[in-house]
Amino acid sequence: MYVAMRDGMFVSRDAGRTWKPAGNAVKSMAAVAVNPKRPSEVYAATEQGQIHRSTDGGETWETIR
Amino acid sequence: MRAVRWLGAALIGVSAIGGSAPGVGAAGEPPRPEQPNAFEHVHALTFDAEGQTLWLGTHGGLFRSEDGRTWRPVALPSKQERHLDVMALVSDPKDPRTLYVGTHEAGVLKTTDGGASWSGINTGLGGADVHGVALDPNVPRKLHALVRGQGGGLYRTSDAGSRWVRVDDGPAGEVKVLTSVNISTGMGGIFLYAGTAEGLLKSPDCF
Repeated sequence: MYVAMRDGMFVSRDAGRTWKPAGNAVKSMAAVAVNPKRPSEVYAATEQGQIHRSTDGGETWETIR
Repeated sequence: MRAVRWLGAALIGVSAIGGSAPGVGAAGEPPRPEQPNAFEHVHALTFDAEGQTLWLGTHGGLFRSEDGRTWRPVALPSKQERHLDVMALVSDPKDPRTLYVGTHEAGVLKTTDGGASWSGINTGLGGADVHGVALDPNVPRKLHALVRGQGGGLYRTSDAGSRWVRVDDGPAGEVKVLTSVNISTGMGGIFLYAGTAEGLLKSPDCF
């Protein structure tokens, strides 16, 4: 489960009990979506519309737009 | 109807949450005057059920992409000249052509044909300023909507939006996002999460 926050992306792998920063994700995250067919593929958008993609479940991110 | 109990989930300043993502498919959309190089204030992002299409909700309307790089505007019905402010998106995890859109001005809109046509589903909804829409991934006809301002509160529908019923005032604080996460409560339901200005809240008994 991912949470997009102003401070960046956070991920919980124990149903929301504990959270840690998700990789090298940037700040000002506004929204996040997980591919339902490939759960390791995660897209995130900043408030300004930058799009970031992770293909390893949020460990590393690349800016794609 | 039983009020929803909200529990703190120990986070601060949440702007959006994504759990197991649901979704939508093909569409056709009329041209928009200017192709957006920078989106105006992103509010929401979701996948379709097949993991093929990304939908992005912004202050300047709804957009879709197949690769996350190239985005096309999607026309939503609006009585105003300007584009609707898209606050929330949730797609049906069992039907890639069904998507729900929560808007700042026009309540909840729904498409069942992958974005080609839209209809307002606001019967029983107390206000038009919708800041969150969440769908039960196990029973996709069950949704919650968070209305702010006039008629504000948490609403629920059990028939895919044909009729909404007010549940309660909703979580305290400014709700920025509402989502259901398919994590079993151990009590026969799943969790509804609300991202607020104060933090992340969850309710174990919402559906």
